[in-house]
Amino acid sequence: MSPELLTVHDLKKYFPIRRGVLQRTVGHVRAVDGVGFSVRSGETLGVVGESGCGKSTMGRAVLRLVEPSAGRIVFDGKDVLKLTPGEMRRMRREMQIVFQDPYASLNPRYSIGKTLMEPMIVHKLFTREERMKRVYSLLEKVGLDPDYANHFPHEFSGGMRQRVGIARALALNPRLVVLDEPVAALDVSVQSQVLNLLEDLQKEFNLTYIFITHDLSVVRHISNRVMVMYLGNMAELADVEELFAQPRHPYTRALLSAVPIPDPDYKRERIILEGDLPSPANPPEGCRFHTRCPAKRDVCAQEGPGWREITPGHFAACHFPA
Amino acid sequence: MLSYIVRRVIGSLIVLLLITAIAFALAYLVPSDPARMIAGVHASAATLAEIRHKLGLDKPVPVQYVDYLGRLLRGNLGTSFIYDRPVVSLLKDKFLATLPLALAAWLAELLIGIPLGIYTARRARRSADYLVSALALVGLSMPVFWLGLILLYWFGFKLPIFPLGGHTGFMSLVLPSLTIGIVGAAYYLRLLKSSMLEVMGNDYIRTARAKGAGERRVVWRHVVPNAVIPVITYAGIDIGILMGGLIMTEYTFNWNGIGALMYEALQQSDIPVIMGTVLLAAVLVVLFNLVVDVLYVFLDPRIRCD
Repeated sequence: MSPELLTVHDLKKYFPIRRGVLQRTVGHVRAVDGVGFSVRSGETLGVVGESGCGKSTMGRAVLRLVEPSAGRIVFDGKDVLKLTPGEMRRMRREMQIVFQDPYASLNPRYSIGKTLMEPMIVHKLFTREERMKRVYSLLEKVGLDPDYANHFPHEFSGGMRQRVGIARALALNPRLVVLDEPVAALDVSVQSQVLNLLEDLQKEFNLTYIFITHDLSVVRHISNRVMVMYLGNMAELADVEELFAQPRHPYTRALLSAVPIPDPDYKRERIILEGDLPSPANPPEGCRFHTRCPAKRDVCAQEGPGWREITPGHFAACHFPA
Repeated sequence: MLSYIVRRVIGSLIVLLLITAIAFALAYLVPSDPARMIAGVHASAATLAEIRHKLGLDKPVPVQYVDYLGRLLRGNLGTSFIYDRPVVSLLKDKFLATLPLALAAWLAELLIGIPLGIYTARRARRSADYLVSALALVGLSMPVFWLGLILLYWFGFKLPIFPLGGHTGFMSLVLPSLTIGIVGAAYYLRLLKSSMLEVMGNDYIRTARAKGAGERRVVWRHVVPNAVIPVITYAGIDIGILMGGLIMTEYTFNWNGIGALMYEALQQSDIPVIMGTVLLAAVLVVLFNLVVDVLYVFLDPRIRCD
């Protein structure tokens, strides 16, 4: 088994809620509230959960694009949260991100070539000719014509822009790439092209991915292991086949039962969750999921379930795992 | 790109034509009789009719307008009642006096407003932002003549560093342009700050940080170039307005430019001069608007490739 590239311990990100004339802090949105996991070199960890469960904030906090409120992030043996701003900037060569919206993530004033070259300029890598060559080869790697280097983002479709976003993330030869819903804004036909591209690039450059999505079929296709998040917490974590074959957490079971299956004769029981997602500013006591859980018992409202290894490598936060 | 510029030029010409109509209408909106102005209170009806005929005022209005346009095209804006000089040469003299003041005032606004805009945007919702923004609002609320008088009192009279008025070289430019700078800078501050805050929320700014770009690079290479468009738009209109005459400032600082001429002409109902100054002011605004539109082509690739 490959060594662990990234380990996250008890990561928290609270956003203050300010009210009134004096803008006093009256509470916190607990976007990420105690998340811990590790990612092995070369693997893809899928992160799923519904909107607002904290998966994007978690991905950004891991890269310190938002400053975590608490926790420990160890990347390649280094404690990321203890790095000085200068060390952190150097560290960014190793860890990159691709955002969801390919329209908002490229500077409209920069040509594609300039966007791709900037990371190399910032980190003072290569000579001018080498940078140009590298821009062309990056464009080729993501399946774009090198002539596009002189074009501007508004001339491209969403899928092409996302390829540019991926090329930009790869410009510094990172080891870890956080993919924050990289295909959610794209047409379905383009989605599969970009997913295949990501897989090819992973093999070629031995990349490690954290793949954040709300699309379960995408996560099944691309991940080695999957983490399910609910309301800033982890619900379940397991190998992808294990998780889809035998989900332990009632939330995961409900999510999986909602995946459409293209077979009209297939009968199965849909688990419909009742109620709305509680506010992350005021999460329920005990197990966070108990307000909507079809299998809840008295203890669930009083005591948090803790993070338990149910079978080797299969974790869940539930008092009564299936 | 060329078609974009051509379209803008045609649009500007149409606006200019409308402005000539408005300037022409002015002569009829002012409740005074030019013939009476020239001939005096005691003139006989026959004299007045003769003057009206000489001025073409007895012709139908549309004909008068076409005549007026014809004179405009030949560079003839009429003759001032008061100065008995061609309006064109009068405007030229006064414009040359206003020009350095307008440029200095404009620079003062930009030099105060833009750095403060960047500063407050980077410290948004912190105490420094609140303090500077509040001070800017105070500056914005001060009447030009009042602030001008205070500056004159302290830095012209109590501490005689600058002249008390008139235009006598560089030193006399400082106080009036500072007055306009302090009052006008607040617009630039607010415009740039809100525009920068909007740009800073974009993923490409997060992307730039993720690349490892330092704060200075993020602000100067990514945020400012994308946020500066509304500032340039406003700056273009602003310089046009300033060059068209600074009535209050010129009056306060005894500056003999277009603004002072306009003030005087209004008081004396010197209609050809009023029409001329209005036309000049409007032409300047339209002209600088056109300049800004053409500048966009070089600043924004989205327009360039249109």
